[in-house]
Amino acid sequence: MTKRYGMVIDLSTCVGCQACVASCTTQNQTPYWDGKFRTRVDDIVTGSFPDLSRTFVSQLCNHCEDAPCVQVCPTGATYQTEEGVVLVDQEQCVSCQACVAACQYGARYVYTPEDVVQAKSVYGEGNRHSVAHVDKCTLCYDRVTGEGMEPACVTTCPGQARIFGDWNDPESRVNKALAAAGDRAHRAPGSAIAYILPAPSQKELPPPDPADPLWVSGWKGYVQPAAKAALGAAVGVLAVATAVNLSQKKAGEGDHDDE
Amino acid sequence: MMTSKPKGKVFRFGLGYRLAHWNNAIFFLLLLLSGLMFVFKGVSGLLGEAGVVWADRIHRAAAWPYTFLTIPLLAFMAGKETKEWLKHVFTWTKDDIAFVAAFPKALFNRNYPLPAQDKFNGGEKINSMLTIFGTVVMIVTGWTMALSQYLGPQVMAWALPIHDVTAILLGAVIMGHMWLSLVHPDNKAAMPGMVNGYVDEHFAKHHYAKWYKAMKDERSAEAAD
Amino acid sequence: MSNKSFSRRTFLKAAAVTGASLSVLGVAEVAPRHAEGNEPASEYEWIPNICTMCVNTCGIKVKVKKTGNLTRAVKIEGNPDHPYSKGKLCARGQAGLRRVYDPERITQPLIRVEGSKRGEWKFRPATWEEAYGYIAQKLQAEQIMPYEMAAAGGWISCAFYRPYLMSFAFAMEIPNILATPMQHCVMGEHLGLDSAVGTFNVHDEIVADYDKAKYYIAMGANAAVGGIATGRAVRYAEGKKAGSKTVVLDPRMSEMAAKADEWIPIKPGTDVAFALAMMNVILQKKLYDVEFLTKHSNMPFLVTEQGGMVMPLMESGGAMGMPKAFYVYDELSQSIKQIPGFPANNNLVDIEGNPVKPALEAPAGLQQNGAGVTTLFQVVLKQAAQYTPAWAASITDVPAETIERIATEFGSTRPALIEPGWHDARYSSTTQFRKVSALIQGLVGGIDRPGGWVFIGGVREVMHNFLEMMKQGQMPSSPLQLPGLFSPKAALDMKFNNPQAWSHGHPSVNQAWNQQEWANGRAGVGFNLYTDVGYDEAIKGELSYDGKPYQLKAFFLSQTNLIRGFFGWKEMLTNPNVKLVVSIEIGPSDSIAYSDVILPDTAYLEKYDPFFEVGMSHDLGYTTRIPVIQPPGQVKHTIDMFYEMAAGFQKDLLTPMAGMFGWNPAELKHEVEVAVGEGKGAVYGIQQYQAHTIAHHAHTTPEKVMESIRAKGLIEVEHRDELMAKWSMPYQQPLSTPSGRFEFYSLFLANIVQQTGIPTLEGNPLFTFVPNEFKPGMKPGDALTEKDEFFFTYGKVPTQSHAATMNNDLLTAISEKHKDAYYGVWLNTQRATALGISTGDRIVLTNTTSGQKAEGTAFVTEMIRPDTIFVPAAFGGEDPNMKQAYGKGTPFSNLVPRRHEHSVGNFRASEFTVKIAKA
Repeated sequence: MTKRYGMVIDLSTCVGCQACVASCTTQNQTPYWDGKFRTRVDDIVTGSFPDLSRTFVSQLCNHCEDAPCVQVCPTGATYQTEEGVVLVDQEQCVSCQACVAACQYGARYVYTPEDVVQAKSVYGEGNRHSVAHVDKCTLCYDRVTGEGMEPACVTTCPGQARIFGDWNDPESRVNKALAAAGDRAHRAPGSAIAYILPAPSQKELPPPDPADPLWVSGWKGYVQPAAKAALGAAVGVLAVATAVNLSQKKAGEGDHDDE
Repeated sequence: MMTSKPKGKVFRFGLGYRLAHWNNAIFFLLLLLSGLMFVFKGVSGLLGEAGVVWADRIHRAAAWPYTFLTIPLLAFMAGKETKEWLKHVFTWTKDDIAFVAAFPKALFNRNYPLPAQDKFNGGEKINSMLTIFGTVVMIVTGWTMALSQYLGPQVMAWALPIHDVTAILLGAVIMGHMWLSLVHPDNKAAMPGMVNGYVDEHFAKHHYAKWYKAMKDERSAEAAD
Repeated sequence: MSNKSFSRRTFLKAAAVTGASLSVLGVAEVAPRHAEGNEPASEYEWIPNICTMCVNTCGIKVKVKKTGNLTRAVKIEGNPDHPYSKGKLCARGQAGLRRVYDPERITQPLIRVEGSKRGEWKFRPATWEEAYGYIAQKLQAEQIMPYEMAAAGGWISCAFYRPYLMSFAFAMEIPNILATPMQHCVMGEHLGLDSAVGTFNVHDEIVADYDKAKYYIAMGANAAVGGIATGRAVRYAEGKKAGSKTVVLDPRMSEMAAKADEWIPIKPGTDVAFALAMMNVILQKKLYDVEFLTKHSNMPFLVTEQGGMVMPLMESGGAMGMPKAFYVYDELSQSIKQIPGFPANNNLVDIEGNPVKPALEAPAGLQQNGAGVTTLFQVVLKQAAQYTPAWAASITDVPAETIERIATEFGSTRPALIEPGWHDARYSSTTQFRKVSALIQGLVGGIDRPGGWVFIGGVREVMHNFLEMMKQGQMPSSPLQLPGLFSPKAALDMKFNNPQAWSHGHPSVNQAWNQQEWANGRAGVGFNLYTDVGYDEAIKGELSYDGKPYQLKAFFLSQTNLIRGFFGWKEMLTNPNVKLVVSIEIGPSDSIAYSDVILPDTAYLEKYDPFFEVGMSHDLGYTTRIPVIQPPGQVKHTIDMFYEMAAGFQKDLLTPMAGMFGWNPAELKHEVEVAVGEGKGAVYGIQQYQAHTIAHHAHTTPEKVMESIRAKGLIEVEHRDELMAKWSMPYQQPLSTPSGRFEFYSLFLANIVQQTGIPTLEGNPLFTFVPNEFKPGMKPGDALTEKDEFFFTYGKVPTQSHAATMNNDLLTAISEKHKDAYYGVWLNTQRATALGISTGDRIVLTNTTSGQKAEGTAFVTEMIRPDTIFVPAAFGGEDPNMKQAYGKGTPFSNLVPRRHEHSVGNFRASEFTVKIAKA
């Protein structure tokens, strides 16, 4: 069975230390000097003194099953691996940012040409980012598949709040952790990232469930197929017309016409 | 001006007008082909990595002449003709409507009678209008996307779908246009008009009867002078 | 996940072929991809090291990329073999590469330009010879005597190089050592706690068993877990996953409070009252561990009480000047019995070897030598009776029912854990507060037991070795070989406060100042080891010893940020009486701008090091460093600088060093000379020498030791379970208290009070409430009434905490994302609104007592008590050379007056109020 990589984030043990952010940055050599990170830890405060709750909510790319960013990418640079990991092919990406607009998690940003120059001085020659492109969480795909290590944010997490695994394996840590969390477990359909809530009632804490923005669903669902159908119809009509016209004899020298 | 007219030919399009047409045609085609991968994702696989990079470069490069050359050519090299063309395109007669109504049948029947047309027939007028509006849409949305780094990613939410769908529709339009000028047995004669400016008198008479007649009348009037 | 990259590529190739054929149909395909440069793993190597971004000394592994002769560190990970940090690493540790590759690194010696002033940052590059020459010439020209010098070490010295800094000082005959974080943390916070359990540096000697505790109370301690101490946070999270309950007392909703099941926004500086009331409830409800108190504490000891002074009955003349015997009331014989003093660790046998069943409560009217005696337990009961929850409620602003409930829950849950604490030089009450915390932990028997305060491996071993020496009638050759609290006490009494121990006949400035204070009828500072008390006077020329002026004229600063971490030092270092300031540093800091000479130090990834105990680990093992990358420019190892400077003065660094550790001086010297001859530096020779001693210790060869270091970053000697089974304290070995027992009445503090005459308030050997004086005349429980007046608190944020993290561009970038909370001055919404202040407004903070001012940016939040403000402490850089740190946050040290509390010279750094106004 193919793998479906994903993560469980235990909000009850995330201490808000930002280790995941720093580890991700150095692992993936991202342009922190521009304030751009592939993951972040939101600091959510509700209530008023002294009846307060403060929760640290780790956020990253959700690696949605039918990801809008993949749908809208005009060049196909954004793609999904067989393990469900949404990746960007740096060479094919033209930095158009359609995916950035389509992502409701704020998980994408542009690694600009200026960032590429800066990366050389910060991370050294031969770093991972040689051309401008849209950048995002890869669930440390190379590290996981190439080095056999867990994602950088997971390995380092002092609170062990980030748990990595294969959703398709019932024995995987993600499935076990979520099962053990009982009614505190929260995994939206189509989502690779699940959360363990501090309390069952705190359902507003995790990021929203995966959904296509209206412009994506309208465009990709209806308008573009219709336009493609129209184009296809035109091709069909012309093909038939070619056949008909070439097989027909012109009625004498008489008038007829066309444009 | 008309003195050097080749025998049996009718002058149809001036140099500036032709240049504008070909500028638009060539760069539109380049944009269309280089943009194909943006609409049909399978194409990028065929192109390979270098192909995608080159297609993207071509697309971005072709946008410049496509955007900035056609209008000056039309305005400064073919002002009078452009005005005439625009006037024709946006003036619709009963004959134009009748032409459009009859066209689908004529497409499958070389002998289907069509009403007499002026310099531009109803179909050409539709083609022109779609091209004019389509080009404006493509230019606006295209440059919006090109500048999305400065305008912010949210502009992509409208610019990309509109660009994408308009491109597909314009693709359909240009296919019809090219089919008629390159494939259709009775219409291929129109092509020289865009190449050297002249069409067969016979072709003109049959395809643009009203225009031909008006031209003849004018010529007669000149001769009478 | 064991897929090799090869299989992925194969897959991609296949996908590309099918993708291409399908693409014609418009089916989404997978082309050969360049998601990210995925270079083959063979070009990389993982080399272990020790993190030095903060004091936790977590284990790390560094991924190194080798291209030809060039090596570059590309990633840091936690070392999974490290028993403290268990493979985890915080943001600061992760950002270590930006410390090493800091574009602002200092890579060659710098000398302050003639005619410029300290603090202006006008330096010229120099060679090492020039720099050393400048120092020698200055010392000579100004005729500076060794006792007119001070050597100051920062937290890196504390964590790694304290013995080497001391060796340098001893070689140079410098009696003045100023060590960070003695006044902040080691003693400034913990003297009271140490006096009960016998530790010296509690963070290094006890790691609480957060993972096994079922109930955990953190008081004044965001830094311990949330702040963040990785190895502690790892254990805390494990405990939380296992369902333990957390109660956090903090005036603000800190990271730690955010994790709490119950957050109690206590009034600042009143934790001591809360803790005393907890003690009261636990005693009243008899929730204490009778067996522990009876067997292993001094609770059953018989005491007399005269004029409010408690005095245990004891016989003097024991080992090392400690009492030989104590008295208990034996329930078996219904009589008073003598039980042996240190190294005895329990109360079950009398001095004749007969079994004893000590009574916690003596029969009424019991007398010894004509004086009425009771047990210490009875005194404790009586003393604690006054600290009722209702009393504490009026001071702490916590309802009495809450205090009573928490205390009851804590006392009736086993194992229950109270936070030992971390950095708390905030109040006059600190010593007593942390002492009471320790006493609560002792009441529930949570000492060196799973779920309680568990000693690290090295503490047990030092105690074991010490006991072995005692058996053979030997005495340790240096304070370093003494366990726990005995070590600093011996260092004080035998060396720093002892003029005879120095050829020049001068004790430390600290001690000279004490004597001057006593002569003027004032209290000095009781435990003054490694503090800066008296330095101000010594610089100004206001200190004399033996009738002659005792001045401080030259400073050797080793990675210490005196300007930010201490108080009043800007003025002190710019005083014209100071003739020479030498700084050893890695990058710009607020303090080194005040130097005359800056010597560039190696960073942690670039050096060989001596061996250290595996830090903060319950296991026993050793670790060291081997270079991961080449050092930049002309940087040198601190120890090599000490070696070279000492040699320049014809002094020998190695003899005092060997003496301190009990090493063979000739063998050490040989190894060092070989290493220096090979150009590898003295430190490499020390490492080589130690590889042998450690191999001997671990029953292996030096080669195997180094092999293990290269592979795992450490060599294990023994595991926690084995150690706890044979050397648990005080169950199998004594604690390093004067009685060997857990001391509710501290003989150590009693001795200090007696020796130094400090007030028994701060240094009370039993326990007492210490009212903090937030401003003149203000009483405990008084509320602030002015519209713009607040209690002042400060603390840590998780991303930036030390000089090593302050100017780090990656950490700054992360902090920027949380800049309101991380840089801002926390102000309660209601109060801020009344003052017309919103988040982002620039505000001025004014100390209402001293008038000192500092600026900051408001963070208006519900997460803090209305009567309190909070300032993140690690910010406020004032040197523009720190491109990242400059101008961010509030330089809170500018608000704190230079003053010291009496027991340990802690700074009372929050014991004042501030007024807030828009800038």
